[in-house]
Amino acid sequence: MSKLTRRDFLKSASIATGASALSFSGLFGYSRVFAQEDGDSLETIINLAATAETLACTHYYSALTDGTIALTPDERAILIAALDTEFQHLQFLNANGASALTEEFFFPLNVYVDRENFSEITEVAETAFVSAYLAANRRIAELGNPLLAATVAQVACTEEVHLALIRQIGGRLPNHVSLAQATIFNTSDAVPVLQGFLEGGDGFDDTARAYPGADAITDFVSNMGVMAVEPFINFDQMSS
Amino acid sequence: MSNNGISRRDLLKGGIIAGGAIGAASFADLFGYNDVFAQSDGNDDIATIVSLAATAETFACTHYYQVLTDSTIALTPIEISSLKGFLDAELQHLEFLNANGGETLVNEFYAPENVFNDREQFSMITETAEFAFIGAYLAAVRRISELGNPLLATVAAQVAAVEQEHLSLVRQIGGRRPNNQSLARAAFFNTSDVVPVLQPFLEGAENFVGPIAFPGADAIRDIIRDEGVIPVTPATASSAFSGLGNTEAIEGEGDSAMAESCTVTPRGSFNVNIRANATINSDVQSLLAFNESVDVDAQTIGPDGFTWWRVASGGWVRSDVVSTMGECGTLQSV
Repeated sequence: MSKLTRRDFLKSASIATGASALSFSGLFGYSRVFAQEDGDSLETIINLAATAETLACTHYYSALTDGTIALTPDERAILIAALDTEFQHLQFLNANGASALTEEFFFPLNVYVDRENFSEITEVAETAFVSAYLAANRRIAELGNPLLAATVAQVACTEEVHLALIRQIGGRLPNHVSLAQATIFNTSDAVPVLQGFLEGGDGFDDTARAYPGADAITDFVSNMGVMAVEPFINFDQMSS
Repeated sequence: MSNNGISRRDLLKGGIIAGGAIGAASFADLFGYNDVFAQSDGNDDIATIVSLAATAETFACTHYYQVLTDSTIALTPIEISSLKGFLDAELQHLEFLNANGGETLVNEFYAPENVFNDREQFSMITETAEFAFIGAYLAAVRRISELGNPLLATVAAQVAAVEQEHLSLVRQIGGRRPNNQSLARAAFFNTSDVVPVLQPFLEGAENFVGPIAFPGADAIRDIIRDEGVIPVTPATASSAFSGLGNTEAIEGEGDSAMAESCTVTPRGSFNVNIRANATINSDVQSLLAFNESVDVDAQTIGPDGFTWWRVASGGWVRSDVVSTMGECGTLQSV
């Protein structure tokens, strides 16, 4: 199998969702990573978010530095901005105590050489990120932290933009939904759909790609980054 | 910048000035809703939030309807499709809010002169409005979370994310990079804080024209036709949280494991045009009802860049307005 499709991902996610949380927990050796009986803890949420952002940084960096897709200058600018955005999210999470569960990821074969494949696979990942952040919004609101709930909503908004623009790069209408898709109840429910990126498998490259690191990303983004926006948790500083 | 002198900065400056100079009571009096704005404890209640949101969505519907029906901006076919998607999304937001007790405070709005005739100005003014909507919805997330309703807070975030899409794509229409921020901007602490920014659109101001009436849901549906967006379930619905693996139902790629053919059905609650050729400029030869499906036997890329499906019994439908079931991706290209 040389090309993983969106459908392959979603089908495997449906199957994987049936696996117990314990097995994923065992897989990564993090006994407290996944959903607690009454829902994710804040620690679980931010660690999973940091993992997703590390994956996203690695993915966009790879597409920009090691891809053969003939991107237009505008498309490159969009992807550099997406990379910088994910990197700023990661830095925010790290500054608040998060720790990515892994810094090596597997990617589907040909994802960086085939425009359509790149677009479809990235859409799967961004859809998962949006849903994960919306689930974080729900759970953090439930945990009684409205400012942090609004902050994760800020992140979800930018991931939704990435989803739209990546659809556009694939030749599809960018804005295709009435609402961002809230398909999972807890952030940890996103893990199965991202399992291939974390473990590899059929249709994935055998060689993992390492997170390039902050310096490499900063050097690459250079002056093409995005405006750093204050998180809602700093609202007092914003209005002063 | 356009030649009429109204800029996004002017609007924001006007909003800030208005915010400082006019008390909440005067706005309440203005619209005749004494309980509309921030409550005595300084925070909005749910009724305030949903009514202000309904007003904003009504304004957005009016704005996008106007640019699609009474504009001289030379929009490309893809830009028109995107704007119809915006319009449909705003209408769906409005209908959700109305179904949950939201009451639109005004049904007539004002617009800056030339906003519908000048691409750059349309882009910048719309960006300002979307910026305000996003800030208002993020404030709603905060406040609704504080009020102990995490599912409704999630719905507000679902809406904010789509408004952020609109902001980005309308920047692109103006020739600016669409994704320019690390986070959506949280401009307001309460949803009602947005009113001063939107004041010129609600009341008029120098270099504004109007009023322009909300066209109504039927008129909006008439121009959206089969170019609407997929209705997504809000987090408050009992059918929400179907799992990421089930997004294929939303995306319309159906479980094809047992399927040997490809069928398509309209994505939204609208009938879909079946056209003589794979272009929206060709004649509509029949309609595919929103609750029906048809077999398709081939595909092609149309001049608009979209994939079109060939209906086995004759005619073409554009891929972004239908959901597919079966092995559609492997159909022959013609």
